[in-house]
Amino acid sequence: MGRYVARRMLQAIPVFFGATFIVFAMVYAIPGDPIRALNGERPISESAQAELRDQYNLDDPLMIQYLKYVGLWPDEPNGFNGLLQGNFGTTFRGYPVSEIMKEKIPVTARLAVGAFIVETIVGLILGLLAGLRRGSFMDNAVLVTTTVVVAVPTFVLAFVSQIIFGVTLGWFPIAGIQDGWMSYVMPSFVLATASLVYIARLTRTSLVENLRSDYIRTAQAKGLSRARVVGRHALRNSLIPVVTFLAVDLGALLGGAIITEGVFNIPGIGREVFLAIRGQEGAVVVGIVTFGILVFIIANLIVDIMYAVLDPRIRLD
Amino acid sequence: MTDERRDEKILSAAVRQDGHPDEVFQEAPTPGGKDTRGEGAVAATAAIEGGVAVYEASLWGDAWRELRKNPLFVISSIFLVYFILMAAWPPPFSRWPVALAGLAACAATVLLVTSRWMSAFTRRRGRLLAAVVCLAPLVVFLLYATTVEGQSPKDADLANSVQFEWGSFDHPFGFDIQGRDYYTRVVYGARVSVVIGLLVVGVDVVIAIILGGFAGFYAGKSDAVISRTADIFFALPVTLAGIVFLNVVGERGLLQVSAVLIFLGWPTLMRLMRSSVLSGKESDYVQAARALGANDLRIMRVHILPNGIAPVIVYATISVGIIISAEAALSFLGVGLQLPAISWGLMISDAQNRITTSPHLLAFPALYLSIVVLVFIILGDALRDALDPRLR
Repeated sequence: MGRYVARRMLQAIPVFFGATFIVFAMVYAIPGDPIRALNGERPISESAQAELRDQYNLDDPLMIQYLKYVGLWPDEPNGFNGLLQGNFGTTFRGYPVSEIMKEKIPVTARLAVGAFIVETIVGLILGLLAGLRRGSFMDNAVLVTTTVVVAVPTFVLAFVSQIIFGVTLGWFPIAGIQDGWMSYVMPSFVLATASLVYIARLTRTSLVENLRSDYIRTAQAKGLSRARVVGRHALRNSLIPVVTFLAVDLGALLGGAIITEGVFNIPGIGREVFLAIRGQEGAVVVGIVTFGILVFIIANLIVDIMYAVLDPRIRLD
Repeated sequence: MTDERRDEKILSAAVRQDGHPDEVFQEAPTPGGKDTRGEGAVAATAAIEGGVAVYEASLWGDAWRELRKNPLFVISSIFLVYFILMAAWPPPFSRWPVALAGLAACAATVLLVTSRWMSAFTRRRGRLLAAVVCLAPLVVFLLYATTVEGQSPKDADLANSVQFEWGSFDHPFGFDIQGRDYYTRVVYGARVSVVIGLLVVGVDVVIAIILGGFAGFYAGKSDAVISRTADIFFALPVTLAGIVFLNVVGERGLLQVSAVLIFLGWPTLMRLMRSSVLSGKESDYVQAARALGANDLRIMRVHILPNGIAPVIVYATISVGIIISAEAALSFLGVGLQLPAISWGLMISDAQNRITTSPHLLAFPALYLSIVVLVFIILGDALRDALDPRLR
């Protein structure tokens, strides 16, 4: 077990560096000189520009820039000072990126937790309703609605719910976060739909397959009640893939939701990164994307370990 | 002849013709009763003569028989053909009565192809004639369509800006902000979605077969390199990375957007292919082929690929829908296609500031977009049900 965990963690390291390097290279390949873009009505002097360029390592080769950013290459005045030392860099206006993230992550986290709750509860209920009676009216109804809902793109769903629940019915605030948790309800539902459909289907398939297996037949033959057969035997095994998916998905949700945050005007990291790309704030983009990748990798790592704990066949492999 | 021996004879007849024995038994009468012998003899003769009961059993053959009976598959295939035609040649479809006729022609063709009658016809008259008969309605429609003069998606009359009237014959979807006929714009928008969806997934499938096949077949170093690279790309969040990548590209056309989506989308299909090859490699028929001296390429092409590609095809079909949705999302965010390109994502993006005053600007492109995505998801679902014997 220990060896399995160690191997998985070692495998995650190159993935982290590879993914962040790709994003870093792409962001700093954005056409245009970011320092020159800072010029307002009064141009910054050439020497000041050169100093800024030096400060942000813009004259270094890309690889050195990246290594300095990660903290594997000494930066002149401060020595090793990068991601590994907990420094997410500063914006071109001198504001630390970590401050921006500290401000935006709680907002995204609230939205992510909201969506997570919605998809877990609704997804599981729908999946159970469908899976327990395969081929019933309920089963078909769940299959049809989930298929139709998943085909509607998120931004369309967001607009439609804004019109219906925000404007026409007036149940929820249309956008923004001024109304406390109420303002997170609608965005959470919209953000949750895609995963919700997946969870409902996963629960259903997994339950249907398990209900057919030999140990269920044995349990029924022993004369156990239906509730006990389902609750104790079928459900426990069926939920393994669901739980692991939920963990991965929570990681993905925490990485920020650009479209949902954009349409509902929620100032989380998703909207921030989008604005940063527009404003050529490379440090913010790389910082937030790195955060997203980190959360994703950690979530996957946890899932792999969880799988090994729940299913002995994997760790013995 | 005893009942037992009769069954044996039917079975051997079926097997001799490489048939699947199950259906022969279904046709055979239940044992017992004095008429049994006569009916049995008839069934046996029918089987021997290669009648209805005997067919070739293969993964894809069985799947096709399953699919043909699935109404969801038939309906979504009709729409698939319809949207592909619309994407290939939009002008005639910009007249909605003609488009309706086109839908009818597509329906006729698909219903013919999937009909029971057609499979009997194919057996009697051969594939060529069957293809001619099936395609006849489409050809007739296309010939008729050449005489239709389409509307231009660029004809603008500002006097009509955002006008919309329910049930209008000439302009069923109203007008956009520039006063261009919205129905025509929506029809022309199909091209981008369909082309990007099919192109991206097509290339990704080729990449998946080559890399996934390689990684699965020759485990070890090459597998490690390919799989770890895939892990890196898999860790990139698609929307976010898509925005970052496309922001670098100056001129964003169909090819640039496709390239970025190909770049970000290949790992999933590659992993599916790899695991499929990995499990197929150990099977008895591959061992047998190897023992007979087949080389790697032949084993891969003839034995592993046809049996192992099913999950890849299923996921690829669904991911066409996902890619179409992703393109629309990127265009909506302003980092996908650029004006004057006609794309549903761009139209919805334009509509977002007017959703309360002119909801038709949002509704129609969103409706078409959702239908196309739905078609691919349902097709994928139907394929999976048909190709996965466990679900039968």
